[in-house]
Amino acid sequence: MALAPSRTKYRKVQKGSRKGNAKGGNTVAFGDYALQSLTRGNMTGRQIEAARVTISRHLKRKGKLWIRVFPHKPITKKPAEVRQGQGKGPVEYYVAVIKPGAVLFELAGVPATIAKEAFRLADAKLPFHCRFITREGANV
Amino acid sequence: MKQQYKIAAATREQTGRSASRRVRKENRVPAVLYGKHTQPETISVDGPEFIRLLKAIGGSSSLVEIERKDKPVALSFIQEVQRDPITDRFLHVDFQEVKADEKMEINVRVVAAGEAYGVKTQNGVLEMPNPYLRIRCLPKDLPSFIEVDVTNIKIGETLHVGALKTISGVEFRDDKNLPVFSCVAPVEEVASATSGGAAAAAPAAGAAAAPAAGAKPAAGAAAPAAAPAKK
Repeated sequence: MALAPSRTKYRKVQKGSRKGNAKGGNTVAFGDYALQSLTRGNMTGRQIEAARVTISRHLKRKGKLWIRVFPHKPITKKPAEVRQGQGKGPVEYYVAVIKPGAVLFELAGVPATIAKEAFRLADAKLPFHCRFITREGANV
Repeated sequence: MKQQYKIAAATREQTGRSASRRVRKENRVPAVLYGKHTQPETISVDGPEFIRLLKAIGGSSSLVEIERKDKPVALSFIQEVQRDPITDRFLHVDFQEVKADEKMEINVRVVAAGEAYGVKTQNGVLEMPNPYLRIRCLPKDLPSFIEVDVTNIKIGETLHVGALKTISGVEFRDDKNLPVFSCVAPVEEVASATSGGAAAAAPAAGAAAAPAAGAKPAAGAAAPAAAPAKK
């Protein structure tokens, strides 16, 4: 199942801004290796889940994975063949707003080569340019 | 006395964003030197030389001698290094000056020695919730790393600061109950992610397609379905 908030304070939100770089969550905090976004965009709950499944399948029950992003922002969409007006459409899905520098996933307990390949496969599921980073001082 | 590293520094007259940018443009890294007994001093160090220094230090805690013009050598350690998260460029460095005969507090990296029993035989994952520990010691007693023997840790067990071997001249400042290493079972992939995931995705797709097919009939159909659920 795609990630989504269990409860929200406001059902729908405005579009918001995506300018600037990630001010927080831009370093490796939990694991030894991480996947860092270099571009900006929306990451849907389904994309997060697809990347998570890809990583965990490649790891074969080894290591530990942290998901550093959560889709908090609701995105609405008008149904097909509906005329304009009559208010904002219903919520279709939720996204995480990703800015350059944001750490998306972190891994620990696996060799660097396996982590790198897992993240490469996960990167293919995402609409961003990403890079593989390590924690400072991690044994690579 | 452990090996000490040296780096040349120049005094930085101007401060602020613009002046720092000018310094960085000259391939230097803005820095500050401060200590308990000295006034803070804004300095800058050569960029490539600083990178060489960091590579030589290799993540360990080490003392650095800062050489300045017309001033005595300052014994210090690197308190903080600020980097651009995207370009990895060094933005700023904090050096903390210490006295050779005075105890100091410093964060030292923890390193696992050996392979944990839980990892080797039980297919677990060794977690390090706190990669740095705060210690108090004299500069001459400063350890490069805090090596912790993890060979006896099994799945579900945690090693706390209180259980660490004492190092001569070193005092742990963290809480005794602070976890250093823990061995946890690997989080198994949820079965529904492989088989049920496709099944779960199908209704989701169906639910998304329903309003797309026709807005008003779907909305009408959804209302009676939702009504009994409320009861």
